[in-house]
Parts: sequence; C-alpha cells; structure tokens
Amino acid sequence: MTDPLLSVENLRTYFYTPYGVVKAVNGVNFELESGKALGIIGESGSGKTVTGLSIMRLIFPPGKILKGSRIMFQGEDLLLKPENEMRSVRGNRISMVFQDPMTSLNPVFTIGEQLTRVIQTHQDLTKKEAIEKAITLLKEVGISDPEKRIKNYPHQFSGGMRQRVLIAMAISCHPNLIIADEPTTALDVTTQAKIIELLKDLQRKIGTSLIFITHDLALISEIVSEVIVMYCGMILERGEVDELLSEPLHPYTEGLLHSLPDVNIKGDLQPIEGTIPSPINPPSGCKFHPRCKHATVECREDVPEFKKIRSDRYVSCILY
Amino acid sequence: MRTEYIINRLIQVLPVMLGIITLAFVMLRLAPGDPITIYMGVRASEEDLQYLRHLYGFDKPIYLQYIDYLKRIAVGDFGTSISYQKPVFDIILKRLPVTLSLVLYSLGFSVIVAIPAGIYSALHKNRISDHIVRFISLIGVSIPRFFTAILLIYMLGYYLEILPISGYVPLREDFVKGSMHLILPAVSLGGALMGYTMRVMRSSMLEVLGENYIKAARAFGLQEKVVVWRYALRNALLPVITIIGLQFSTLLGGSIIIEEIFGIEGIGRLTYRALLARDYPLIQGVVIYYSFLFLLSVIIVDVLYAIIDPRIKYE
Amino acid sequence: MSEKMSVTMFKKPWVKDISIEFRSNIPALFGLFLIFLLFFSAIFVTIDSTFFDRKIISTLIADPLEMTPDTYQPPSKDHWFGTDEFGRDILARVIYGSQTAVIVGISSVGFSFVFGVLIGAIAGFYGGKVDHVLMRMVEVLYSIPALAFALFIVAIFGANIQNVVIAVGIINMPKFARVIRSEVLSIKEREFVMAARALGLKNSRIIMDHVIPNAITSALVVATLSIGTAILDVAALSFLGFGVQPPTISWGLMLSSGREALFIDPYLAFFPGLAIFLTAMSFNLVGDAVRDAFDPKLKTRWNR
Repeated sequence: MTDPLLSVENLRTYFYTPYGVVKAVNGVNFELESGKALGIIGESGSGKTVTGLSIMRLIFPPGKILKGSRIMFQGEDLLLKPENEMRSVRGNRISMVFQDPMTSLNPVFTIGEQLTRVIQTHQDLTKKEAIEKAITLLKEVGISDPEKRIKNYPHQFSGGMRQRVLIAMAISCHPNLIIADEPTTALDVTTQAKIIELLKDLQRKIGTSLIFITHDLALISEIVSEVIVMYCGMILERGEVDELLSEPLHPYTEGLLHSLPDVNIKGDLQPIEGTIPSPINPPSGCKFHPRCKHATVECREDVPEFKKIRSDRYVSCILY
Repeated sequence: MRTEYIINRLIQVLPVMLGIITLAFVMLRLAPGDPITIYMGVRASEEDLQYLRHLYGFDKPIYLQYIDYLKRIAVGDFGTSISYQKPVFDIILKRLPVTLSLVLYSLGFSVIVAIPAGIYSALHKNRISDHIVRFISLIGVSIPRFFTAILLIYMLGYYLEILPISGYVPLREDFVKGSMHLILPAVSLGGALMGYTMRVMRSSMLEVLGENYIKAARAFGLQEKVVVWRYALRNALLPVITIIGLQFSTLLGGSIIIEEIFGIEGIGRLTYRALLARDYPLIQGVVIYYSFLFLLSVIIVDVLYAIIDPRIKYE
Repeated sequence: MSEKMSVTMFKKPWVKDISIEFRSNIPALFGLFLIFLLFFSAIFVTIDSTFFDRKIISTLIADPLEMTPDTYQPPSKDHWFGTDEFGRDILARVIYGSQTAVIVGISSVGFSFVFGVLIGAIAGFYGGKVDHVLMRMVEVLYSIPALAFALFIVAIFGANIQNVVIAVGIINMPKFARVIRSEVLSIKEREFVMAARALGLKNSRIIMDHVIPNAITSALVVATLSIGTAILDVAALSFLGFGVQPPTISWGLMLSSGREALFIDPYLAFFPGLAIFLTAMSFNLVGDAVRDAFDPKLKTRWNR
C-alpha cells in the first residue's frame, strides 16, 4: 500500500476558555488516500470543523493543537512546518471551502480582486494573466458572464453564487486536498444539490482529494466513499459509506440515521434523546453513554477501544 | 452617480439646517431682557434705544422678524455685529482659516496617532503594549481639554520652553512657526478624539479579525500583512470614520476653550466674546456656522463611507 | 464545582453578569472605589456644611472658605495640596468641590435620562410622523457642538446652577433618545406589547408599564458613561466663567483661577484638574464594565 496523502495521528486540539478547557478534538486518527473523498459527520460541537481547521493549522488562541499530534501530508508533518511555509500550503496544496458563503467573502473588494489575490499569492503570474485565470475559473464553477461579474462585489451575488466563487478560489491552485466544511448548510435545497454536483465534478476532473464535513447524512452518500462519525471530539465509527448507512454499528450513528427524515430507513422518525453534552464537562467514559439506551456501568468508566470489525470498518463501542 | 448621492444627502440635511436656524432665532427671542438695552447700558437715552431697535428690526412683530431673518440668511446676510460694528459674515469668514487650521491639526494629530496605535493594540491583544495603549486612550477620553492645555503649557511651554504657549501665526505666512504655535493647542484639543479613535479602532479591528472572510483569507494562504492591512483594515475603518465624524463637532466646541486659553483669535474665541457681550447677531451667526460645519462633516463622512463600502447604494 | 459552573454559565441574571464582570476587571473595581470615595466625600460635605457649619473639615483639615495671609503656598505638612490666591487650603476646597460635581453631574444626567428616555420611547413607539419630527429635533440638538450649545443656554438665560444642569442635561439628551428609540423599535414588536395592545390598554399605559421598563437597561449603561462627560462639561462651563458662580466651590472654577496663577503656583491648577480627571476616568471605567457585562456579543466571543 502506498503512503496515504494525509494521515492524521492522535490529533488533539483544546480551547482554553475562561470557563474551562474545551477538548474540541481529542485524539483523532484517520488517513486519506490520494484522489479519495472522506466524509466527517457529526452534530455541531462534535469537533469536525476544528479537525478541518487543525489540518489547515488555523487554530488561534485560546485554541491550541497539543504536542504529540501529527498531521502527515505528502510525507511531511504540517505541525512542524514554520508558519511561512505553512502559508504556502494553505490555498495552494490544501484549500478550504467554508460553511457560510455569505460572510466568507470580503465585502469591500470585488470578487475579481479577491480571486486574483489568491492566484497571485501562490502562482507567479502577471496581473493580466491572473485575471484571465480568474475568468476561466469562474466559468469552470458555472458563473455566467464572468468577464463582467469579476468586477462585482460579493453583495451582488446570491449565496449559491458566492459559494461558487469561493470554490473557484479553492481550486485556483489545483490543491491536492480540499476541505469542505458544511459548504451547503447555509444554502437552500436546490442550490445545495447544484453545489454538491459541482464539487463532485471538480473533484473528478482535477483528481483532488476531498474531506467533506457535514451534519447531514443524506448529503454524504452522494459525494464521499468513506465516512467517519465524530462525537465530542472523538471518532465513534468509521466505514465505507453505503455500508455505514445501511448497517450502522454504533448506537449514535443509528440514532443519527433514525433522526433523518430523508433517508430511506424503516420505522418512525426518532430524534436522539437527550442533548449534546457541555463541551466543558463532557461525560466520562464513552461520551455518548448518557444518551445511549445500551449504556452499562462499563460505558461510564472507560472509553471503549476503537476496534477493527472487518476491513475498513472500525467502531468504538462495547457492543462489538 | 456619486454627485447625485451627495446632492441627495445635502437635500436630506436641509431640514436640520432650517431647524438650527430657527432654534438660534427662538433661543435669542426667549432670552430675558432686550439686547439693545443690555448692549447700550442704562445710560442710553430712550430715543437712541428706539432708533437702534428700529435699525436692527427689533420693533417689528416676531413672525415678521423671523421671515426677515430667513430671507437675509438665504442671501448670506447674517446681520451686523453689535460689538464689532461689522457684518457677521465677514467677521466669521476672516477667522475661519484660524479655527480650521487648529481643528484640522488636531484631527490630524489624533488620527495619525490613534489609528496605528489602535491597530497595534488589537494585534497584540492583552499584551503589555495593548494595556498601555488602552490606558492612554482612557486618559485621552477622561482628561478635560483645559487641564491638558494647562499641563502642556506649564511643562513644555514654561518649564522646558520648547514650544510657544500662546498666539497664532498664519500658516500661509510662516508654515513652520505657525505649526509650532499650533502643536500645544492641537494636542490639547485632540486628546479626547485620539482616545475615542484608539478604542474604536482597536475594538473594530478585533471584531473584523474574527470575521469569516478573514478566516477564509488566511485559509487561502494570504500573507498576514495583506490580511491585516488590506482585508481587515478597510472594513475596520468604517466605525472609526463614524466616530471621527461625530467627534468633529466636539472639536469645534472644544476650540472655544482652547482658543481662549492659547489666545488664538479664531471663531472659538469670537464665540466666547460674543457670549460675554451678548452680541445677538454674532451669536446667531456663530451657531449657524457651527452647524453648517457639522453638517458638512456629516456629508464628508457619508461620502467616505460610500467610497469604502460598496454596499452603500447611491440612492 | 465545575458542574455548578456550567449551570451558571448559561443561565445568569444581569446582576450576576455585572458582578462577574467586576470581579475580573481590576481597573473597573478601582473606578468603583473612586466613585465611592467621591460620593462619600460629597455626603460628608453636605452634612458638614448643613449641620456643622464646616466645623468638621475645619478641625480635620482647614476651613475651605477661610482666607489667610499664606497665599500661593506649595504643598506642605500644614497644607497637603498648598493654598490658593486667598490663602485658602486647596485640599479642603477640592473636597468641598466634590459636592458640586456630584450634584450637578447626577442631576444633569438625570435630566437627560428622563427627557431622553421619554422622547426616545415616544418616537420609537408611535413611529411615523411623530418619530420623524422628534428625531429631526434631536438631530438639530446634535448638530450644534455640545459645549457651544451649553454655553449659549447659560450665557443667554443666566449663569446659575439650575441653568448649568439644564444646559448640560440638554446636550447629553440625544444619546439617550437615540438608544431608547432603537431599543423600543424592537421591543414594540414583542409579544407582551402586542398582547397589551390587543387588550386595548392605553398607549401611555403601554409605554410606561411595558416599553420603558424593558428598554431601561441600555439607558442605564448610557447614564453611567454620561456622568463622566457631564462632569467634564460642567467643569468646562465653570472654567469659562459660565458655570457655577463663587462662592460655590467648584473644581472648574478652581482650575480657572489656577490657570491665571499657573507660573506662580502650578499646584493651584493641578489638584482640581486631577480631581476632575479622576472622576471622569472612574465613571468611564465603570461605564465600560457595565456595558461589557450587558453585551451578549462579548460573552460568546470565545466560542465563535
């Protein structure tokens, strides 16, 4: 087996807030092979976004990536890189698409200015070449009349169009990895489908790897091949997407599936009981035990081992 | 399109201007006593008083006086000053450059110090340098201008003898000397503005640095200096411009006290004299001048805003 | 312990917000201490001058009104802050000046508060033409420099304590009117106001019972921040001779006579100036802390 493109090892990212320490990501491990698409799923506060930001090393005080974490990307540990080298990775070799297109573009510059700035930061192009490249990119992401639109400001675009612009920025330097953090959450359903379609196309066309972060199980099957499920900063389950959706192992994953109206599953719609635990005082042992109907004394005491059930199928639960 | 926007703003501002002109008129009519009597004193003969009342139109019914007053102001006639015996308009115009150079110097001083300091403070949040900047801005907003003036006069002017402590030299005649004379007044006048600008700059910079588009810009690998000085600063400047615009009128008000302390013959000192002498036409003229300058500053702020922020529509 | 913390973190009344803010904000505590000192001093002066004919202060320090031949003394063991042009003790006079500062500062802010809240509430509640006319009037007030306007009022209607209070009250009023108006604009869409309207309550009733009480916290924040400005304004008026008149003791007046003797005796100007500065500063510190305690944005910033 070749080296994976990305391998995250024992990633721990804590936030030292005035109210206590938030262990946003607490020991996460996964690999991603070149050209593959991985989904990270979880409720808000599960640590999935922080995982994405940690890979980009965009964690600022009071947040901190703890020593002992490793993020191997193309054979180098990103966490050991000096900041200026890391900057040439961001937007160039790893790009990120954010959750809220409405606020992710700078309101006081035209999209052309913003797009060419990203291009010129990483590529040695003249202003004119950069503009040409920007126009091509905008065309690629499906923005009509890009020659004219390039002079427009973000507020003149709809949410879906802004997300397209941000995707154009993300792919502008042909990154090896795109991290898409809930790219469709802020959009309406029809636009969602179009953006997903676009991401899928682009991923296939430029052969980049993709990490797709979402809380929406229904979306994930369309775009990724493998899924990890996160809860309270830890991975509960991992597997191939169709298998995980048709045969969830962890009670939490099962719960997530049951709480979805638009996934074809037998039985009634049942939300998971209880609430997401406080990020400052997470439960002991298995983080899910207070909401789990199978919970035992053992669950309260120890974190279950992350076991390999069969090839490419892992779960962290005492039931297995 | 931009000119249209400016004209529009001017039209919106007109009712306020009319309100001020009316207020100036009403206030002076409400005042106890008759300005002519006060000015001439008890020894003036009744005939003289009658003559003067007639001359200044104080014997007409009040609504006619008001209409006359509006008519005259519309053609730029602000009446004749009782104590100076000269047209009010000319007196104000002659002193305008003096006050404007003082106000602009102090605006310049506070902005040039406060904006970099505020940004620096935001970028070094909770470090010692941040605390120092915040302490200076607290002093700036809390210290009375006249106290700053007195302290500066004593320390820099009297004790160290490095700067002149009174008088005014027109900048056109001798720029260096004129500037030297303006340093202490401008610093005393601008202290509060400096303090407010610093804290607004700091907090708005911090706010903008937490915005998603800044996170996104970093995620696209933009240089930190581009992120701060281009992406963040331009957005963070908007509230700063607002506060400077609002504080502009405080500078004008403060110029009364500062010009008096430093013996600068500008409009501030003129205001003080007019009030002491109860020179009503002059007081009216000065009120209108103040509000005119203020409204001008409002329009300048709006235009600056529209230049920086493309979301503002030129309706 | 940590269990308890998470509970209080999400559900705490505003009193608790303020106490938490002050506990972690040492400068604000210092400001609070200075304000207590100021009030204590003002109360002491009131008691001393009304019931004891300045006996207490005369025994402790010196009679603030008694003229002596020792003019322009620098600070010494007998006179900690020195003496003024009439040989009066500056420390005693600074203490006596606190009473004027507190009375004029508080009552002028009270004036702005009452009228500003009323105007803002009426403008916001009725909207339309009423709002338009009232807010244009507020704008007119706003567009004349505050100090100039206060000077006009006092110069025209006479320099006495009432006119100073009214003048400074008027120039600070627009702030209150604006804050309350925007607050009321959102409150009037809330259910309890809708319900009160549906029940057919009179508008004046709804404004007094439902609208104003809900908008009052933001006006209180403005009030704390305004006392400092008001004290500065009053001092400026007195400094120019259009404020409180002698023999009333005021810091502004003291500073004004100190300015005339600046090169003979700088302490004469320094101590009253320092008193004004520290007072304004402490209200700014406390006002900032109160505002931060009420600002929901600040509290959630860490987890954005």
